[in-house]
Amino acid sequence: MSKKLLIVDDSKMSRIFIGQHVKAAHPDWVIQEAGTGEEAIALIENELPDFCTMDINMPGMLGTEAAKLILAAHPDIRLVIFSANVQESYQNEARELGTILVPKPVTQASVGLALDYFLGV
Amino acid sequence: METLNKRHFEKLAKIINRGTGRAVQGFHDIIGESQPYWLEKNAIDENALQLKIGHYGVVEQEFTGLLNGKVLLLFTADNVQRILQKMLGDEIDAQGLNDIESEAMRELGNIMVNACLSSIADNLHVLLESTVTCYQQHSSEEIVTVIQEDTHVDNVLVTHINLIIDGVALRGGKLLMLMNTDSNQAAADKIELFTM
Repeated sequence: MSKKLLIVDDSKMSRIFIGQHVKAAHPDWVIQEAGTGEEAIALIENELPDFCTMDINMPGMLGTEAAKLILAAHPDIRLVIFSANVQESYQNEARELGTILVPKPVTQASVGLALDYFLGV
Repeated sequence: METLNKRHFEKLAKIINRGTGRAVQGFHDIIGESQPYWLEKNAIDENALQLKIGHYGVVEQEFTGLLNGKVLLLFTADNVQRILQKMLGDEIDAQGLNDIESEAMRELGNIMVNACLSSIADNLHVLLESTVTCYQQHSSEEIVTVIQEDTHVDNVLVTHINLIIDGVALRGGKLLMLMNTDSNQAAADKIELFTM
């Protein structure tokens, strides 16, 4: 069955690369994009994704704050923090949210980690 | 109130070197780096920074927390074009590269700068908050002026970075950490606790 993935990242290039790697593995998945945490929260109100990748450093609210709000309202979404900001504090925050922090750069391997988490591999 | 001293600087340089090591892991075989060293702001000029006369692509990110400052990541304009070609592939044309230059360099900078900031944060057991990256082109002269006119900066940590693309070393990249190290007792205490 086709799944929906929301990619939240202020870098258009990161959104494109994540989308390309995901499409290569799952061509039938529907990809949505948001450039900020606020935009992601608004999008999710209208259309619930199955999965979400979330950057941390973006204009406006931090991605970890957006993730907290999204997961509190929609605990069934499988979400990973996907960021270059790999400080232990943020890794701990990800764990407290019940998710993982996947380190950038965006590569086949790093996107693979996110996909494994989404699919419970 | 203790000012950061030479011993603190040496430890910070070691920590930041670990951070560039993280960036190396992230980019596999395309990045090499040198041992970082400190320069006082009043010693900064194009020679001290080993800047070539010409234009550089400059990624900038500010950070706050136990330590406050900003990081500048510099690549010569020629090397920016080569890096973009490597990152984006041969199929993209010159116009396409120009269109995405800022976006791609911001993301490259985001990864490299955050590797260094994360190294500082994790080794000193603190949280450093950082802004989103921005990207501009500056002449070597403008870069020196920007540093000299920044009243919040008293010392600069310099790391030379070489990208190795398809076996060809692209030398001349710089990672500059601009910091205010004066009267920072909390930072001095934390850095004292770090063992190499």
